[in-house]
Amino acid sequence: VFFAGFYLFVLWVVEPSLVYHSFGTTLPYPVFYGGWEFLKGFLVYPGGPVEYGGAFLSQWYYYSWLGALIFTAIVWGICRGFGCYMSGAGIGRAGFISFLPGVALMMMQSRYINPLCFSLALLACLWASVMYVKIAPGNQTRRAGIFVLIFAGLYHIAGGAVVLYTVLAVLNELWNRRSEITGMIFLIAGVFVVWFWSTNIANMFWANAIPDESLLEDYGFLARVKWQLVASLPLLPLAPKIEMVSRIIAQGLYVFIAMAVGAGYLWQWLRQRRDSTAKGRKKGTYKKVSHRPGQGILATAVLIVLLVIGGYGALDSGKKKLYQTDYFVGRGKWDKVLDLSMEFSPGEYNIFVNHNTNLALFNTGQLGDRMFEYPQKLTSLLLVHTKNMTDKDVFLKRERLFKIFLKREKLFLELGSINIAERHCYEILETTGDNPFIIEQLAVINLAKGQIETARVYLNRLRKNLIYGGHAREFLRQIDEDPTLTGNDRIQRLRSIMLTNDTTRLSFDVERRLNSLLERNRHNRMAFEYMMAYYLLTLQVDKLAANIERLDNFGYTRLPRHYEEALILYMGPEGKTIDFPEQWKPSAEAWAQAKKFDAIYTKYEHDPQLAMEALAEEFGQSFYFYKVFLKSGMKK
Amino acid sequence: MKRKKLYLMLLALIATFIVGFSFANYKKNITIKNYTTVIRPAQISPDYSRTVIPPNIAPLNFVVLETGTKYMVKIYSSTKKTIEVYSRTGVIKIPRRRWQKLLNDNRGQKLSTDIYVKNKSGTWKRYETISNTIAKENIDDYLVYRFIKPIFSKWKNVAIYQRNLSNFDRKEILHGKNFGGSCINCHSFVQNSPDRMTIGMRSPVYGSATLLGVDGKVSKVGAKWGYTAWHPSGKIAVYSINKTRQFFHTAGMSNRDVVDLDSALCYYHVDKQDVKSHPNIAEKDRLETYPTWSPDGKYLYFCSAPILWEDRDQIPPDNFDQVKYDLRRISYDLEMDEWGKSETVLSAKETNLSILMPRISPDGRFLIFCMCRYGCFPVYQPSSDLYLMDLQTGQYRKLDINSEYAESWHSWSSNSRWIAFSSKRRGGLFTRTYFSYVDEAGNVHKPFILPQKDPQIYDSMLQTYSVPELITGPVRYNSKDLIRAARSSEKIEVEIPLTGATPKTEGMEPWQQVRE
Repeated sequence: VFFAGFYLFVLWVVEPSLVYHSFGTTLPYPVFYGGWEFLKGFLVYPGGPVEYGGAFLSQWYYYSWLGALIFTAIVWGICRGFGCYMSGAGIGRAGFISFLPGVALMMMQSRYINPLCFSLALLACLWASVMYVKIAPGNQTRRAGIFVLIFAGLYHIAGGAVVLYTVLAVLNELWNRRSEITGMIFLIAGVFVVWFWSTNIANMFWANAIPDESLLEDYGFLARVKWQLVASLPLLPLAPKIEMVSRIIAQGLYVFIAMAVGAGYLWQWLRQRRDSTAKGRKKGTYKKVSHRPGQGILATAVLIVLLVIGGYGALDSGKKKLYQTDYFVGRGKWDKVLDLSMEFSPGEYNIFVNHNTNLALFNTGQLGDRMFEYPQKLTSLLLVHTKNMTDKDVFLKRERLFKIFLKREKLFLELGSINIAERHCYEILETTGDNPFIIEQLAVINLAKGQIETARVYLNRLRKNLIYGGHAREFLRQIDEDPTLTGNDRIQRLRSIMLTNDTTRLSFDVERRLNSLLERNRHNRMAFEYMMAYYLLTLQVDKLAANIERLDNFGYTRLPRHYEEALILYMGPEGKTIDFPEQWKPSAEAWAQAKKFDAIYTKYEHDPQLAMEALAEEFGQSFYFYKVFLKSGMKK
Repeated sequence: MKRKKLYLMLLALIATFIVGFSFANYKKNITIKNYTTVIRPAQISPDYSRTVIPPNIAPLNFVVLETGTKYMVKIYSSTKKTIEVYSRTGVIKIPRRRWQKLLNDNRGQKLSTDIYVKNKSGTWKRYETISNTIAKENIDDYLVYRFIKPIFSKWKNVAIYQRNLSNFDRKEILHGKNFGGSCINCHSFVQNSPDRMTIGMRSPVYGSATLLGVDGKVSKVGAKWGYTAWHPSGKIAVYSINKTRQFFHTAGMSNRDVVDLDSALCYYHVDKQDVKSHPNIAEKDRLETYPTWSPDGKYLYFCSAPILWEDRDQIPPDNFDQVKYDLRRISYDLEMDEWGKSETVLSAKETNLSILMPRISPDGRFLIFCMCRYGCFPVYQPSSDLYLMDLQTGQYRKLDINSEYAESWHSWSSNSRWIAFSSKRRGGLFTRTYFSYVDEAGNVHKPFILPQKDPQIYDSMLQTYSVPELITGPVRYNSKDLIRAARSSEKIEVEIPLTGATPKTEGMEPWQQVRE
């Protein structure tokens, strides 16, 4: 029941596919390819096999149901391993306690990290401990030999997680076997194995063995061991790359397991002492514990409650919403993006949400009508250079910059600035690894440019990806049938809008860039609407007015609301004449609204705060309001 | 007893599996008696046909691109020994030892490859024989190259490797991740010798410097060297300092571009540990770059162009696409440390193209250089082609080995019979290393790509091979020594004797110099 509940919680509340879609942006992309050559790289350093397994299993997070199933199975293995260890080590039946690691792991998953490497390492560690207590012989020397053998194997498979195995084995020696000396030998042997690896084995594979920067010979003995255990491995909860709350949970889990085992031994020892002194009771026999009827149901209910409380308590709902909006954008579910945008609190609503909202408004044909229903920032258009972005939060974290690259890459590709999109793709590819989405984008860019051979290289690479391989094969089939891809609408569309005249200085000049896209193809609606949005956000009503007649190119049947408002501001109270066709002139109703706004504002002009409050309800979603107060989305 | 039986059964099971597996994979000696003849050569990838190959090259593994269910390839030369390779997939991996023996025994002879393909109906087809020529002269044993993705402003995985050309062994010389995610580049050797070398480094943690390997010891020079040319004596190294900036094209195939806003040449004296320059190689109103020595050490060849812009900070500068480099040379007396007057060897005015990357054959006979439409960085210019000048006559010609895409970064083998060069001929983006045989008359034969154990590797490889340099043996300096020197605070402090128009490289934003 617990694991059924666990599975459903992961599936419905966490939604592993959201985690998958954050790979390569806020989470590192777990690159995985089939074949020996790829595997080989993971076999030469400690923790590599677990990383390999984690990378493989992470791919299946693409499908929420499968991701949830995989994670549930691993957690089941951990809980079962913990239970088996407790009983195998002579502590007794763990029961309720053995499920608590599951609650902790659920909390980690609710933080939207990728917990697979950590979980696999823990799984390997617990089952290695079970193996040890099951096969460890009575003879101290042979026991030490078995310990070292398992330690070495586990260290290579699960890296730093071997620390927990050592702690459990030492506790077993101290409390169960009553052999302090062997316990100390285990500790020393563990340290020696790690040291030996770092000084001898690692050197044999030095070129590729160390995943991060190191020159082990320059470290002292203990520093080297510590480095090997901590710095080289992303598996240990001490690794600094893991998000803070998750790191605390992971550390807590290690401590909990060790303490639970220690407490179990202490409990057994106390019982043995009590029993040995009790009259008429044989040494070493325990009173059988009887379970009351319904006790199991109660325990299950408590566990489920703990699971739900823990899961929801740790749930990073802000991150979830952010991932959801990205997910919906990726799938073109624009209505859902707009619905979700309304759910963000002011603290959560950042430029990425704003950017997604604008994309959704554009794709539903509402950008000119509704953009000021949402909080707007110029930077959210992502058209200006990141150096010009003043939002502090953009630069707080390195990964946010990659997210900007990722979003800009998509935006510029759709706008037709495919060289800029290509550039961003390379930046992402270099810094975040073989992100399949980026490889696919590069293939598309090269296909649009007619560089078929280069596109093939990307597609052949993508073909090896477990999730995106199908896309690649389909593209390759299309290329084989028709190298010009005349039947591929996306490629044809890109070819029709992409810039063909090279101008090296266009790169960061927003207006010139968008204008050049419109010169290339006057029907490029996205370039037009983003240019108008740019003029609105920069309050350049004169430039907006100068471009109104372009509306003829896009099949508009009426003047969008915000353009109309901007035109009224441009024309001014004296009604500056504009030489437009009648249909693009502001309506009488619009003029009436403008006058109303002006009247209210004039009334409270002496107190801007009061004016804002008076206007927010009726005009908080208008361009007038934005123009005066530089705020929008007041209704929200 | 029971346990013993269990062990025996397990052993028998393993033995059965091994025998079965071996049998299934045993390549039977097929004799093809009946076949139809196809009057064209089979399509293979990479294209290893009608070329000249070194007798010490690794097996030229390839893929047969014809559709079939089984493949057989016979490789033979004038000696009667034939290598037969069978495949179910079309991937032909040639046994190395037999290949090397075959090549070594048949220097100067033809090498023939017969390809048979069995179709679904069970009929074998035999394609026209593919012929290559085995040269008499070896190529240098090792190739040193930079292995990177097509990077722009960020770098994470920049590494320099050496490849043993007689097999497929590859070894990392230096990886940027080992000292703070650094960019490393411009590796340079003295006359194809692995004994004396330099590598440039730009590290956000350890600064910009040059790693200098001399007499088995690595030291760090506190200045970033650009394109470097060692004097044949190994006593001095001339290098360029470049105020390089990267910029981007908004349309077209080539996205990136590079301009040297300013540049000049300096030289480092190994024994004295100092840096000097001379007005004739560092003119204030000109850009000097790409130095290379004549094999006798009497002349330094280099490229030089007038600076066409007033504003030396604007990126890209005005007229960046008008700048064209001349090929010049200047005499030098090593004993007296005296420079002569520079003279133009070939002017851009004459060619109407920018002349770059001159490299002279070790026998002093030929000079190969790049020419492209404009600018200083041919690898980003699809118009870049290789040209050969006969230094005895001064005549030059465009080589037949060029493609529609960029050819650049060429280097000579120590015996002057081979060149390695970078080419983007496979699609225009990814540079790969090619080799060509240069005969005594200066004819450059059809190039072939650097062979790989997996012949399909290039089909999905996102990295580029850059700056391929041929050397006669493995690099003498191991990674650890290089990393230790790179990380060290100890360095040879040098004062660059240039001011004014020609700037020092120190203090530049490191990303501004990113180049392939």
